[in-house]
Amino acid sequence: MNIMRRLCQWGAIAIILLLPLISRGGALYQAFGPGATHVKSLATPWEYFLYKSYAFSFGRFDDPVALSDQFNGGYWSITLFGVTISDPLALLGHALAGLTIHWPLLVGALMPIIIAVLMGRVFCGWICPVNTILELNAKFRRWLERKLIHIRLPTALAPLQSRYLVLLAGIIISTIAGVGIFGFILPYVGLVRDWHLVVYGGAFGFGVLFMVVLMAIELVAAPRLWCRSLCPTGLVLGLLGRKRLFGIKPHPSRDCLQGCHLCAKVCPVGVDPINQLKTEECMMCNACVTQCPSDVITLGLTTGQAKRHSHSVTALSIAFALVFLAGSSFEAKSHHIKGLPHYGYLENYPQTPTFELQATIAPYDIIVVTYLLEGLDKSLAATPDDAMSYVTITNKETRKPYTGRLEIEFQPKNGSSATTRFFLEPLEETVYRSRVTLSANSYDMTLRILDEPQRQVTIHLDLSPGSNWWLIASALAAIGALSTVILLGVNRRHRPARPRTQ
Amino acid sequence: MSSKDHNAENGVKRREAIAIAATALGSLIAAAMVRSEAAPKKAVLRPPGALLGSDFSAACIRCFQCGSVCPSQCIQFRSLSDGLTEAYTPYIEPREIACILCMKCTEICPTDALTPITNDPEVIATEVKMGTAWVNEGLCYSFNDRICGVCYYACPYPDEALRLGEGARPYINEDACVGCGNCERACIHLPQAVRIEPASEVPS
Repeated sequence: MNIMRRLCQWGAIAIILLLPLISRGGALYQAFGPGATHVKSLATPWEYFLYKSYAFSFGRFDDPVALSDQFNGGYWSITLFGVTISDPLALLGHALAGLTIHWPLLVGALMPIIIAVLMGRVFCGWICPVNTILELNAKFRRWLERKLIHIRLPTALAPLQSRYLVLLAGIIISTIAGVGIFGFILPYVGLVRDWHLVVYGGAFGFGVLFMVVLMAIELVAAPRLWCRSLCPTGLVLGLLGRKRLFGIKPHPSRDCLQGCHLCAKVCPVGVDPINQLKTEECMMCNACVTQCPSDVITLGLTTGQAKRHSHSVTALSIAFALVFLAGSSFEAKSHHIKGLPHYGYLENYPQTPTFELQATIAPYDIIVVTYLLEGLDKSLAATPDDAMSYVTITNKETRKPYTGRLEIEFQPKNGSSATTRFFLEPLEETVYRSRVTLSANSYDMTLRILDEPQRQVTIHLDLSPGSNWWLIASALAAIGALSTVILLGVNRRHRPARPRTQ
Repeated sequence: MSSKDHNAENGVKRREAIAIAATALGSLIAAAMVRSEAAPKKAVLRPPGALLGSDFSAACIRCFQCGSVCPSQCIQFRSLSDGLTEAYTPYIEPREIACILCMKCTEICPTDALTPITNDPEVIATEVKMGTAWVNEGLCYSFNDRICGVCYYACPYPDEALRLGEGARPYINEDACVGCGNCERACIHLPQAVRIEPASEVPS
């Protein structure tokens, strides 16, 4: 049984990792066609690899491209063999945010809902990659305790009811803000999203960072914090499965060893398996089944009454939500280069990265295209700090370009003196062209339109080198805040006895 | 003994009530923050069949399926720095890759964020309105006595959405233009002389 579960877990992870690769490979296969010889010269090595792998794997089928359309997405909403299955929380968030029910989405979410009704949190124990990772994390923690440091790490157990607060917060935010918020919080969604972004060569988002923070916290202070006490998906699936037909149950004829209760100690979600067989928490992870010395607990069809048990509630989840919201204003930005010229200029002439900025101030529409003349290697550039800006101003009411007097001011954010350029008229056609020396910094680029109708607009021009210090800082801040909150919310009465270290 | 239990129970209840109230309050503040940062920014071009404005960000569950099914890989995703209401929603930057109007994204979308549209040129012409192209006559080569006309050959609805006048000057029929952005991608002028004004541009 446990081997089956492991296969399920890693199979699910493998499928999720493969799906974006298949989609992207399929798109490249469609773009270049079968047996194309020019892929290597036109595409990046990564794209070439995806194209070749796709051609190798699916090229023999009748319609290789249609195949990639049958497989899409991730845990949040997945398309397998053309059938779309969605997360029940996606349905909930969508329904709350728009105050509507979209029937195809409901139908797509039916399968997980039915599985949850019959089997409870089986998704958590058997499929969810976060549980898989955190199980390994907990194993690593035990190994650390026993073999390496010989000290018992602190075990803060946040109350199980914190999950209700997370769900409550999610419901309130989704409804009022008009955005389904659950997809942003859930780490299994974030991980898939980040993998997708990596495959498609964009940014990496908040998901990996969130997961790393979570792993650090669970390793150091609070084992199985997320799955036990915070995950709203686990709560919803568990509530759906309170009258489930399949789960752990005691063997009818075997008896427990006197004073054993090992099952309650090994349970990652704080269930006392032999006394509470139908709780919301059980995720059928098999830990109690495999650990039970007298094989009393088995997995199978269940009958019997659900028991409820009460714990206190702390403000942990609120703090968690707030920390998340504070952290979410940051993210690892990719090096977005907008306003790329066409005809593959980016690939052929990478020496002129270009920023395009746009501003609208009635009646004008302003476009600023800035070339950094330094190219990719600043040390080799003859004019390392020069930036060429092309400014086009269009009067959108008359649909005519503005060709009067213009003043452009570059004001560095660090307070140094500003550089100003004045133009009587555009230099070429209807484009104002200014070449100024701008060192790496953030600038407020102020455009003063001096003829009627007079306007002034400030555009933010960011030439500062990308740095990730705030990523580290926010991760540390999140860890610190969470650790504090967890330590404050420790429920010492429920600290389980742990095996001795020697 | 029993009174002690009673007190403890009351204490638990009080803590629960406080926690719930604090959560509700915190979420209200957070929701207000999310709403306030959703102030109108520069609108982006959404995939075909998309709802407009805040309806779209409410309906989109950010499952990324539209982007991965897109054969031309034109659908990109906004980042968290664009705000929570916009984060991870799909958009198209026509100057990088324009939409080829295959309608696969509308078929795969699990929600009503993208309305399903049949892949039929006539249906697309009537149903799709991603945006509207407009020609900046000050920039356009053809309007400045240098004959170009590249956008005409890129347009999927030539002579209906975009027709060439004297000297290969492009004229847009705003009703027929679906806003796919192929003209913007094809434009050889930099900055582009023909641009798409996204339909999702909601007047503030």
